Amino acid sequence: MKPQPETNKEHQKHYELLQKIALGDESSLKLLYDEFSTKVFNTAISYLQDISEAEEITQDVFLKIYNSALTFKKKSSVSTWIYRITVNKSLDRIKYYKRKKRISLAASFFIHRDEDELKNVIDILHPGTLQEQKEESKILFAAINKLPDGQKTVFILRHVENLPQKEIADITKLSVKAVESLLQRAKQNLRKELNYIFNNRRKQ
Amino acid sequence: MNMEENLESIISGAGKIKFAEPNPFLYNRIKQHIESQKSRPVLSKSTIRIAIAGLVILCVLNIIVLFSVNGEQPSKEYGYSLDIFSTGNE
Repeated sequence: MKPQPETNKEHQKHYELLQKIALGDESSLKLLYDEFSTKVFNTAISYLQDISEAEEITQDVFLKIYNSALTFKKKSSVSTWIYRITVNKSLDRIKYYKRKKRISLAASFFIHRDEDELKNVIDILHPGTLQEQKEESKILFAAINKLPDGQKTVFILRHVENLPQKEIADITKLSVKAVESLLQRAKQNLRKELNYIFNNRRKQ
Repeated sequence: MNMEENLESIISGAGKIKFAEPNPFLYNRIKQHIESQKSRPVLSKSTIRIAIAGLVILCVLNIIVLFSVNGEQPSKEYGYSLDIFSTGNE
């Protein structure tokens, strides 16, 4: 089931759980985990396209929640805070892999390596994809991967996670207008990229 | 379906993806990490290493400064003991 916007009552409940976690209560962490792990995991998988990487991000996010619960300020909802940690951790991981790829490419000038080792093409299917949409989903995520970070984030949060624009604005610390404009640009770029992929396929 | 409609259906298809569940044992892994965090010393290994490296650098710098006061070699008169506070007028 896709996430629904948080009500005030839920917000209060999550905040109380966080306060207990700050005191070291692990059972509260488990309750928060049960509620948010699927959302965190699915957001991470949309970015990284890798199940084990997404699990590692989920683990890192909950460790961060456990260690930083004390510093949480009630400026945003707990859900927004958790999404923000997930987005930042996922983008950091992507940056890390891009850096690693650059270094290995530079090293490949000096050390001969197997070409396959350097290809590292993302070709994994989102586990939630329906059988009849598998091919389309693969193409879509390949195109999403090519978007700049900001556009990628708003597109995933809006169209995969189904979050309202206001919450996306809170997560990304942007205005609602900026989110709207990023979404428009993301869609334009996706259309271009998908067009390019289809044209290439037709030629083959 | 024309090309434009096809692209739109793919883009809107993102919202049709069902949510996948993470590994059921993932929470146990998180719990283990928390336990190992608790048993870890307050100062991490890397902090201790950095502190030791800092101390070594300070000692080396200190020795260099001591041996190069005013660009002079240590006086034999003082039996190689350094008197950096000496004004030279005594």
